[in-house]
Amino acid sequence: MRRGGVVSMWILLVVLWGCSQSRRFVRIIGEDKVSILQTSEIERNPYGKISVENRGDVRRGGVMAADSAGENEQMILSAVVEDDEGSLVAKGKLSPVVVTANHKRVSVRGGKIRLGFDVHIPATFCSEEWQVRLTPKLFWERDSMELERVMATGELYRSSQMRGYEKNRKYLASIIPDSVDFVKAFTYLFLLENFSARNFKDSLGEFGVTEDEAVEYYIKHYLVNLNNRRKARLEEVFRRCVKDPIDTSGIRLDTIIRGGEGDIIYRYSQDVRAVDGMKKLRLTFSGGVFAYGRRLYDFPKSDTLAYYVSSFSRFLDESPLYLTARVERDVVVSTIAFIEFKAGSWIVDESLGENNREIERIKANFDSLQLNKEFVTDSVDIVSSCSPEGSYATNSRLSKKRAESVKEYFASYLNRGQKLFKTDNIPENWELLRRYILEDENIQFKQQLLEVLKTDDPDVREERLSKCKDYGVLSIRF
Amino acid sequence: MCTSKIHNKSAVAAGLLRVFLMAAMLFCCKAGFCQNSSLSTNGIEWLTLGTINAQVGVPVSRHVSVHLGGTYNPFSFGKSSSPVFFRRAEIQLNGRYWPWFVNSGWYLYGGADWCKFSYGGITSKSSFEGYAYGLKAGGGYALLLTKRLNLEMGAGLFLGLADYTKYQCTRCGDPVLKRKKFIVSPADFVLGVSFLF
Repeated sequence: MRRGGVVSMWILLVVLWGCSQSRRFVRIIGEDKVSILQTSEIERNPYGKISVENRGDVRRGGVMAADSAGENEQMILSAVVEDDEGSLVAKGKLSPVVVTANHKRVSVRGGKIRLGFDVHIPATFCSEEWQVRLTPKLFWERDSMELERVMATGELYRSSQMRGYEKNRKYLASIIPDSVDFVKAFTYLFLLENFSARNFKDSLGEFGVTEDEAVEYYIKHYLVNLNNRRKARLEEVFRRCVKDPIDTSGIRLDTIIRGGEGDIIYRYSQDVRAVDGMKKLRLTFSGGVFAYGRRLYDFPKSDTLAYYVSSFSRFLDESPLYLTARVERDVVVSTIAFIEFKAGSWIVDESLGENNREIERIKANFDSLQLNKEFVTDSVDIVSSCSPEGSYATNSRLSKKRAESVKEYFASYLNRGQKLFKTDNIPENWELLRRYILEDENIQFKQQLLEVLKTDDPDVREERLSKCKDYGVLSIRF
Repeated sequence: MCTSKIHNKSAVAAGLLRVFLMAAMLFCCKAGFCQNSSLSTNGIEWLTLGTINAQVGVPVSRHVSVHLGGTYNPFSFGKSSSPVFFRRAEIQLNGRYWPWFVNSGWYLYGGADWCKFSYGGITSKSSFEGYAYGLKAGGGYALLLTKRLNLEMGAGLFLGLADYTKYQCTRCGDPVLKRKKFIVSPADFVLGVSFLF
């Protein structure tokens, strides 16, 4: 087999060349044409003698359908003659269906690749009783795509199909549709009308008979049953009448052949969306010959047409020219606010002490952050603490509740949900107290206080602190 | 000459007619004419040498009706020397069962029948005279032609006792055979019309 240039395939060729010329039928036809033939049927019958079930017309010398001897396979023969022994012998050479690609190289235009090839169906296949079906399939890398089919339908073949449809149409016409007036269609209307006229003056008739009872009695039950049976057999009858439905989907061409004296050449063109990896496209064909819906012959597996895709994008330098980087900066704004709570309470009270001023200050901070275009507020940390007065456990619970309370208050103000806020608590803020002790000039015995602060247990530390001389000053200030 | 037969013909006929009319009037008055009451006549009887016949039916329920009928044939045909006649006076009372509705569709019937007959010259020169009584049963179909008219078809079977005398000819009074016997015979071949009130 030679590949290159314009490639064409002999989809079908069965040759019987006397009694001894059965060989591998791989033939090279010219520079651009390659034919691959399936020879198994012939090789199984080396003497070239086969029994023939004549489904064609021998006299016209056209193509016939035959069963190979001993095998139940279909063959296509060009002609059959009777030899001296009275056996029917296939003779002659059959022209193949040829598909020719006019261009080996195809280019990408606007993201699409236009494939083109000619399908040449010879006159010998243009039998009025047959239908030739050809399905192209495109492969690239690991993907594939089935293209629309080409069909050459004989006139008698199509007539047979249409007769089937006509039979089915008559059957359909015999079915009374659900849309008709049931009473008119399915009752003995004449009797029903007379009965109604005689016995009904209003909806209730003589002796209490009802209209429904009357209709039920005069229903043609046999007709209802017959109609139901017909409806139930719709699919079965369709299959029986229309053995080979006319396929209208996925078909590029379905041409009707009259007379079958001329070849059919169809120029097939298909746009394929170019995707990454489409450097080489391979095109194969499958199909067969059909007679009245019955598959006479499957085309042997065909050779492959190859297309090489050229694209300007291959020449592009795909290394990046510039990068866009996103640089993040984290800024923390910290402020200490003194929000007072009543003893033991965690409710934010704006009217208590300096709370209003402090809250307004925090709000102003939030506002300035919101207005800032450079940064985005992504979190607010709230840390609350209590003075050392009281037990450590109580102060721990209280500081947690106060942090939550403040969080809810400002979450409501910002209207951005509570997920923005994180809370933490310091049960007793001894560190702050220590700084006060150091900074407050009114405290005289600072050293004593600082010594007490070194006590480990906070509750013991508080008790000892309360006994110091400057505790009074401290409790006022802190 | 069978003078007793011929001379008494008018008196018997008049008597039977009177009985039938009185019975019919009594029947109608008692039952009361209502919707679906019917008056029928059988065409086959008319074709049987012009037998006059009528039947009155009164529905008593959706499925049951009661019918009183009578036939009368005083006629004689042919030459006076060899007449053909099928003289009859018959009264029957029966009930009909209508599986669907009175006077509509199929029906079965059963009832009593009394008949005085005198016939001869039809299939042979002999003649028969006597009476019969017994039970009848059968069935039929009433086809609704119009609001007021039915076409009725039916047939039945008579089981009863016949007491008759056979005469050698239609004009002579010589009895050949006198007997009383139980008979089963087809009866009431009906192809007639009914008028519905």
